[in-house]
Amino acid sequence: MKPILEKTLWVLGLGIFLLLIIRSSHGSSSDSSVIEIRIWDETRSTSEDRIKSILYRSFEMEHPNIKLKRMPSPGKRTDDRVVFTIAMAGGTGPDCYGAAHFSLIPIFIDQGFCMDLTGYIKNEPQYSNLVDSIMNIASKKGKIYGVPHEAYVMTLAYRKDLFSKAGLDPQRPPQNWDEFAQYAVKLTDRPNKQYGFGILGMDFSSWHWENYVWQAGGEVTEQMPDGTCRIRFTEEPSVKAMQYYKDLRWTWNCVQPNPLQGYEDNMRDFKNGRVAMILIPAVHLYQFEILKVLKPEQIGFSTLPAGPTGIRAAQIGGAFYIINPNIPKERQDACFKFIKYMTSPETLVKRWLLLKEAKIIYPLISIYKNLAFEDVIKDIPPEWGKALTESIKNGKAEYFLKDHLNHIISDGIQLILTKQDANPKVVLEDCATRAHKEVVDRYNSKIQK
Amino acid sequence: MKSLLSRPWVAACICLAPAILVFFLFKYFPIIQAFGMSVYEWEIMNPPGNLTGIENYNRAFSSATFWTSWSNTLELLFIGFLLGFWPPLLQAIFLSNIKRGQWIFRVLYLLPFVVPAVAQFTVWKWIYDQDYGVLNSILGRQDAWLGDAGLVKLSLCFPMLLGGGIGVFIYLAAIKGIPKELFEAAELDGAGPFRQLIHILLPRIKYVIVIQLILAIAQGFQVLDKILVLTEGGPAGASTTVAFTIYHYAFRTYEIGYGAAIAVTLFIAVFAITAIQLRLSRSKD
Repeated sequence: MKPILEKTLWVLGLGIFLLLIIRSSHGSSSDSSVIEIRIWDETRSTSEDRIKSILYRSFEMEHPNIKLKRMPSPGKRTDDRVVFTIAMAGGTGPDCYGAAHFSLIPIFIDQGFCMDLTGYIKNEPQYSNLVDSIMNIASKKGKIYGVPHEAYVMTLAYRKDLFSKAGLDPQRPPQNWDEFAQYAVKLTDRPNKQYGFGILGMDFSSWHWENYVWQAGGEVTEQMPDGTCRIRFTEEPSVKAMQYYKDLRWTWNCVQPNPLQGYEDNMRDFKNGRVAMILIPAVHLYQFEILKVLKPEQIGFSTLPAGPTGIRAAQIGGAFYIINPNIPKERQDACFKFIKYMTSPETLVKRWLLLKEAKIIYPLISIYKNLAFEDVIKDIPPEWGKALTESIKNGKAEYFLKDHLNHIISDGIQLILTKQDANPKVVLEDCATRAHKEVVDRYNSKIQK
Repeated sequence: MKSLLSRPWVAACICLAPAILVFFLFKYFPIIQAFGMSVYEWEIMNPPGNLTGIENYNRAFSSATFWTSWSNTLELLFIGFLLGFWPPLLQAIFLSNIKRGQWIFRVLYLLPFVVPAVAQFTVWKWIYDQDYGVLNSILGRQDAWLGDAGLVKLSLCFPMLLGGGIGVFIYLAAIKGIPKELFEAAELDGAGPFRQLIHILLPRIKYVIVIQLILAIAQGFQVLDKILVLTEGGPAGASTTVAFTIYHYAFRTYEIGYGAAIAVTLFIAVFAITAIQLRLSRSKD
């Protein structure tokens, strides 16, 4: 009987194994007329998640033949990007991805993660009023690869209470580099571990430093008409910007003792009153729970101080929706309907009102030229809305080839912030040599071929 | 008639087959694939992309970042070895001499092993904080432990001095396997604790030490998690390791072929060193 039992067990085991394989493979929807699309987007908080769910349900009610399967992207931004990349490489990427950040989309376009949406967008009247500078970020060779759904601009946030304590007018933020340094010195009280400015020296420090280069009248890099890259961070404006960083650190000594601490640490220090001024996108007031600790009246917002040229340039960022180019046409069409709904002015206003209802109040930038956040939501301090509106006038997208060059430029910034005798011009020239050898020359020769 | 399935070697193969398959799929296949990827300008969506031959390797060998990362890795390996290789062995030796309450120490040594490494590194980030960190507070200083290129490598390796973890138990098991009579006989002959250590204990657990050394070196070459949590390769590239460079090129700039080429150089280096170590340990036998 033993062999029969053995054989029976083997057959049973094989049967279960086969069943598991069949079960784990993708099954089609039980109703063939309903199209299911998988959406990955960012998760910020339970309340924002709930708001997204409300909007998604509204979409499904208006489009009963489209079912949304939402998957919040895991982890922090870097993890999310790694997971997305691996999923796309493995053929299991989402149909629609909502966390294609402004700085990432050029690289996503190059990697083939994004479908060409030009045909869809040109037929939609609602997109004729999109802010051009935002839309151009997802464009390459005349084709559009993403639809923006969220935008921010870099602003200066400051602690009004610390300003008052230091004898500064809390309604008058610094207007230029010189004033900024003077304010930062006044706000620094080293024995009591309070510092005027939380400088960003961590691995993506060029994200903040680029603002200073623009304010000094220069560029970090430039994309030439033939698509090649020209390094410009050895020019005088960049040297001035680097010298300014060096002076903040060593001459005026008004930054935190560890200038290489992370961005999250800078947010924490601002919350705790350890630093009085930081550069921040307004959305991070909520994301880093600053508004859970501080009251709106404690926080001042302004445009970034003007550089020596009088320019108040500020970096713009945000996220695009992109569509997977490798899914069937009917799912691509369904994804675009979803994107059109989520980025329509009506849905944006609905989202803002829901945020207000959930007491999530931070200033937002509208992606439409004819729609302003502060016209809809009156609950934020008026100067917040004004700061954003003024800042976006001088908004600039991040520098060309940032993802490839950031680590080289950040090494230079870190050298300036950790070595008092480092020469900005020499450091930038060394960075340029390295950038040419490791990135730019190869990139340019590839373009020219 | 005896069925095929009842033969021991057949049953053993069948039982081992799933594990070997998984091992091959997730360990050996990626290594083989990395070799293949390294000669292409690997495209994620349309693999493999353009064939570049040895261009990725030429690029690596002519890159300052590549050599800096190797230099940093070797320095971290050396400092890590000096500070972190010996404590688990010493702890196991002391633990083996504790008769009563040994279980308390075993629990205490094992507990850190079950805490996720990222959580441990985050705690150390706080310990090293310049203003509020415990270390500066005790020393009465304001050193930038993670922000000074001259201190960062030591700071990254210092936690290893505390020892603990699974290594203690591996050594302890090996020590317990030594017959007690050898120590008793040595004691009768007048050998003190130090001579017993040098002439009996260490030679008897030599092979375990060699295995631990091989593992320590292999792990040392691949250090990435603490770099990502504590320094992100800074300050100014002072803690950029080979593994971090691979991660950067593969997942941040999407130059996967180039990242694979650097990974292959790492594999060859670790393989060569491990082979040399094994050969040396066998020749002494």
